[in-house]
Amino acid sequence: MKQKLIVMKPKPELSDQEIRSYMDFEGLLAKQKQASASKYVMKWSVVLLAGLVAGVLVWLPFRNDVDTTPNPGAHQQNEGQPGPEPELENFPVAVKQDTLSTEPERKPKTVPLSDGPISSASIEEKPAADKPVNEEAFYLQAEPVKGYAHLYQYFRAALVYPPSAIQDSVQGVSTVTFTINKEGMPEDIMITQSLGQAFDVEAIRLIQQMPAWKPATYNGKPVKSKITLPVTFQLKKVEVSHEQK
Amino acid sequence: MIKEQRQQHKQLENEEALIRNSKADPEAFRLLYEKYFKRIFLFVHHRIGDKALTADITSQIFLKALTNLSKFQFRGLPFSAWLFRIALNECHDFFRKTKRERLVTLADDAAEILHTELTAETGLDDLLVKLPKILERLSESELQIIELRFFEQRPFQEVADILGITETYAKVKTYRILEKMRKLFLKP
Repeated sequence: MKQKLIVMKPKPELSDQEIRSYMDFEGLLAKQKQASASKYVMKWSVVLLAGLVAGVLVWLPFRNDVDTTPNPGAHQQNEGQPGPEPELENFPVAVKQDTLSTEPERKPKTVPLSDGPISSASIEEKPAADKPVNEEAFYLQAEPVKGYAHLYQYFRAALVYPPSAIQDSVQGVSTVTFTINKEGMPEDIMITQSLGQAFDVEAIRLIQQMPAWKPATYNGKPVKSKITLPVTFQLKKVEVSHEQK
Repeated sequence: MIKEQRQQHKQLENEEALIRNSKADPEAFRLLYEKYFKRIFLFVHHRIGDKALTADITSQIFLKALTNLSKFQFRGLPFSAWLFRIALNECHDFFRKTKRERLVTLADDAAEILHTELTAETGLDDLLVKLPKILERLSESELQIIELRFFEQRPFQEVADILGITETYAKVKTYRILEKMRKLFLKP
């Protein structure tokens, strides 16, 4: 035994009265109540924590399901489209894991721009959003041949603020929806959020003349896909360009 | 003898009823508390030596007994043995946590009994000189048995009840430990 030991003679026995003076049954009861209360709280905390963990574990797989299925907004927009493309309609939803599964719309959504009339662009692609997921299918989004950075540069350089609107000092965002066909060219250009006639014409011109795109592919075959981009009109930048002119 | 057994049986029955009531109403534990407080207090005091610390540990022992009363099942084992077992564990925890020197209280008559059990070849004084070193060589469980059996002079049945072993095993173990002590004692 490593512990130090002291062997000693018995001390004079304590009197009953002295021992009784240490008795405190009321204190014992109070401590017991406190202990059982904290035990109760502890027990419920453990139960709640376990429930929470179980809930999260159950919810996680569902969350992944939601991420890989098309969002309802995209579905509605697709349905509202006049004269839907047959190829788009029959297109089974196929998601490439590394591009869409975790953040299907995020990649091209915001690109910080230091100057120029366009501050941001967003893309929505809805290849037959209402079809069931085919896990073997392999889908790649359409994207500009030279990349989004180059596209935004083109927007900054090519966008002209409509001179007729300078007086009204209109600023804002026009949203343009178009289809990138199998050849990578835009068609069916539509303004989904308008700032006015002149802005619509300019936004359509901008999209028509933009650099070529790589079409979306489904199992390696090019297919049509729908893109939505916001085009920002800022008056200040255009005024500068007018002064330059 | 039969009268004594009947009385003991009646006492156990009363105790069982008190424990049953205490499980439902902690206030009923008061009678058990008052009945055993002194014995537990002295049991701890012999090992700790300090009154204030003894009071704290005794309070802790009864708190544990009360909160774990639902786990106590009456199987003929006296309630006191269960309390002593809790007390023994609490004292052991106390020494482990505080690293304090462990006290062993040895009365003269107990020393003589131990001396007779060990050897008659050397004198009692020689044993008392060597005893601390011999006891330090024992494990905690071995020391507990020697302490309960010889220093506190408890019957084997009670030693077995407190340690949760059978009476026969308590006897066997005691004589093995005595043999070990004898060898340590006679070692030059």
